Amino acid sequence: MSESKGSFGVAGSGDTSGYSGLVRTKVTPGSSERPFGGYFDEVADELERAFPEFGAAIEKVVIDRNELTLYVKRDHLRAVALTLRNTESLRFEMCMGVNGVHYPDEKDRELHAVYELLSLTHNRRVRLEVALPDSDPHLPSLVEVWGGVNWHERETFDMFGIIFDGHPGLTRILMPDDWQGHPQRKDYPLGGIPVEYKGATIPPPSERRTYR
Amino acid sequence: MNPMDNELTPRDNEFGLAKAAAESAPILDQSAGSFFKQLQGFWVTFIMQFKKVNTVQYPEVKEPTAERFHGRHQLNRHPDGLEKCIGCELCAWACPADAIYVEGGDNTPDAQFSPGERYGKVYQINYLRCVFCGLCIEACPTRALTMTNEYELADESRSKLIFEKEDLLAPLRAGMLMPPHPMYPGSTDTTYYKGEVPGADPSQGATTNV
Amino acid sequence: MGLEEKLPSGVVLTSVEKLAGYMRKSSLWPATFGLACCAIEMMAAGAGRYDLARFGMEVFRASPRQADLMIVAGRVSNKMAPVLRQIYDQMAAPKWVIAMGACASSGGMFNNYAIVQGVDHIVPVDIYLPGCPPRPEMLMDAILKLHENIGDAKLGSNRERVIREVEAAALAAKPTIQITGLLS
Repeated sequence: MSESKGSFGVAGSGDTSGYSGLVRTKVTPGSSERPFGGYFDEVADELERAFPEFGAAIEKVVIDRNELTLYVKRDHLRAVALTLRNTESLRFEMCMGVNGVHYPDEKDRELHAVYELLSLTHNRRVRLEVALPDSDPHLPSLVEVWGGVNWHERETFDMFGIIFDGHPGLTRILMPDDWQGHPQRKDYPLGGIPVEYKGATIPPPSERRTYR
Repeated sequence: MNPMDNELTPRDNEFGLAKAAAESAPILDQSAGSFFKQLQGFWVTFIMQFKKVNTVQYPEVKEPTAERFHGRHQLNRHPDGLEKCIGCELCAWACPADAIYVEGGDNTPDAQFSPGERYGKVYQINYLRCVFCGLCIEACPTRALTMTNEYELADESRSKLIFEKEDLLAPLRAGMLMPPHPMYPGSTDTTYYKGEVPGADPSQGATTNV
Repeated sequence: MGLEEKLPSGVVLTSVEKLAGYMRKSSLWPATFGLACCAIEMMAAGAGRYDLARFGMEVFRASPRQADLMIVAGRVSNKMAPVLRQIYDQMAAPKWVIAMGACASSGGMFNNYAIVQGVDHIVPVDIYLPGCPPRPEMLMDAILKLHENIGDAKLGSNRERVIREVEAAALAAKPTIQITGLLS
């Protein structure tokens, strides 16, 4: 449970003024209990069977909006990924990409990396989420497991500063090579210049409006 | 054993290029039927010579735009010439690009620019920033700001593309009077918004016939 | 450049100017610099309905050496800026630049860290064209305005005089922030 102020995400009030008078309560879904429903139980069972350290590696299992998310501890990420790919009954051959999320309020879990997996064999989807502290943003690279995440890991590094150990060439992919900082973090300033008029200026949006 | 069971071995190259090449049909077809197919294609090219020319001779012939085309803005007037803008800055707030700058001013009995208390003293639109989205039009509570279909806006310097109030104001039509002038006799601002003001009254000043 | 640089200003130079201006404006070859949605309108301007070939401009050159006009169509990111400047430097003089659309002219609604706030920060712009994106007619209008300027371009000693005058006028001009207008 957390509160956010700003102009976005509040429905029904009719107020779109952006004066940050709107307050929205965000609920982070907690851990789910069995039965999970659908194929989620089967996936969890199979993973537990194929990966005996399931209890130590998976922090929690979350079912939200009919989607399965496994919160993995980062020391076990590579092993879990390999098991999900190689086990015949799981067979997640495809990784749709790595996304980063920045939660500045979560102490020592500021950065999250999210992997979307797809099993073409069984037509199933699973999401892996790894939390890591801002002070030590290292994560094992999964390029050897799924070659396609190469550029996604570079992008996540570029935008969030998560360092993927073992990546073949972890350089910036979107921003210029000499760029300072990681733009998708919440504390990164929006930048911009004042808009010029004859005899006046309007300050840039980040100073004039609330985008939080 | 399935090759994917090895820890890091990639799958066998069973879907490789060699297989694709073996399965695909030959592209080069040199039969007589192919010749007629080509003729069929050239026939389309040939017949196009006799079709009507699609080109619009732009600088000489100007095709009208769609009726609701988003072009240059215009600040409208009431029938007697008073400005509709009340300087509320809602358009500036709605603008996603911060392309509108408004400063309101107070109407005084000596200088009445719009019905009611306030008028837009400074009104500038930075056309370099404007994205012609029309959100300012939707935000305007008095329909003071609308968009015209005029689109020929290119210019040589940045300062020329910052339009001021006199560039944006609608021209005076017949029966209108150049503000500042007093409001229509016996009227309030409500009368204006109900559309009950027919035009400038002689008591408001000398009417200009434009 | 050549002979016209050495001619004394007078009737001969003026007629050479007119001839050169006419030829330059009648075969202005644009470099393709489509970066975003404006490029679609730029392509439409080159296609049948609007037909830039009527102005001798149908050849959009991908090679900057063969181009005279750079139409910067779309938003320029900070990463693209050095590339754009390099393309401009590779073009042979005389060369012109049109900043097409709000983003190229000033950054448009992308007032943030990633976008160059107007290409005039990196290359000299001759014509600013507002619109998001401008319709092909607007682009052609900008091009025709540029054609007028090119047709009137001066050469040799006249050119030096014009440069001095423009320089003096620019130094004397007030910056936008000091133009008060209705502000008091």
